Amino acid sequence: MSVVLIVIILIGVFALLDFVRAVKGPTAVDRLVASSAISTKGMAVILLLAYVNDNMSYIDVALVLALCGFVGLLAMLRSLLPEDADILTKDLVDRPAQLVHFIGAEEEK
Amino acid sequence: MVIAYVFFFIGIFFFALTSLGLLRMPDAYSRLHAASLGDTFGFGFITLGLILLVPGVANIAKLLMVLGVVWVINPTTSHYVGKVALLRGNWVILGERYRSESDEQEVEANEPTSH
Repeated sequence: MSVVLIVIILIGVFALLDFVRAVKGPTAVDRLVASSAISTKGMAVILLLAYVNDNMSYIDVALVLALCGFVGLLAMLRSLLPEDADILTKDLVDRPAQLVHFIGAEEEK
Repeated sequence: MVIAYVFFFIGIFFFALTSLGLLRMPDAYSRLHAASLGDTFGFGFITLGLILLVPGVANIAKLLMVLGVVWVINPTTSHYVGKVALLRGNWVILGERYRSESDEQEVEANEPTSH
């Protein structure tokens, strides 16, 4: 039983490391990715707590968290999508290299 | 019991790879790759370890349902996050050794900006 508790504590530490990226992330997409990773780790913690507390109705909580997190993430992504998304898609198909930024040897220091 | 703990260890290993990739990768697409793949795989291993531990067939069925839902949802949202990142103009950061001659004028015409 104590092994599972150690597993839960380690997952919490890794969720804190993800939270660092969610705070620091330069773009909104980084923050969304980090919060999605924290959500998945939270589901794993809830499933492990179902075994520790010997209360199997926690599994339903994890299922509801997965579905609600999915819908919320989709809503935030729809609000982040720019209005001229179709024009941008066609432009990117025409010139796929326009987003690439190379790190030179002089910039790497 | 021991096999379940081994599965937990593998799951924690992939969670650790996820956090490391989120902290250390240079651009949003690499971070997305690390986060989505590592989280999906680690969650799968932790759920497989719990399937060996919990009593009853109904609980095992519910755990398999959660696992199936997460394994469908996580790649779907990762795909859409990547598309939104591309349309919002996140930069792809590559090393200097990947530069080819045909990329020169395209890249120099677009100055890197922060979004």
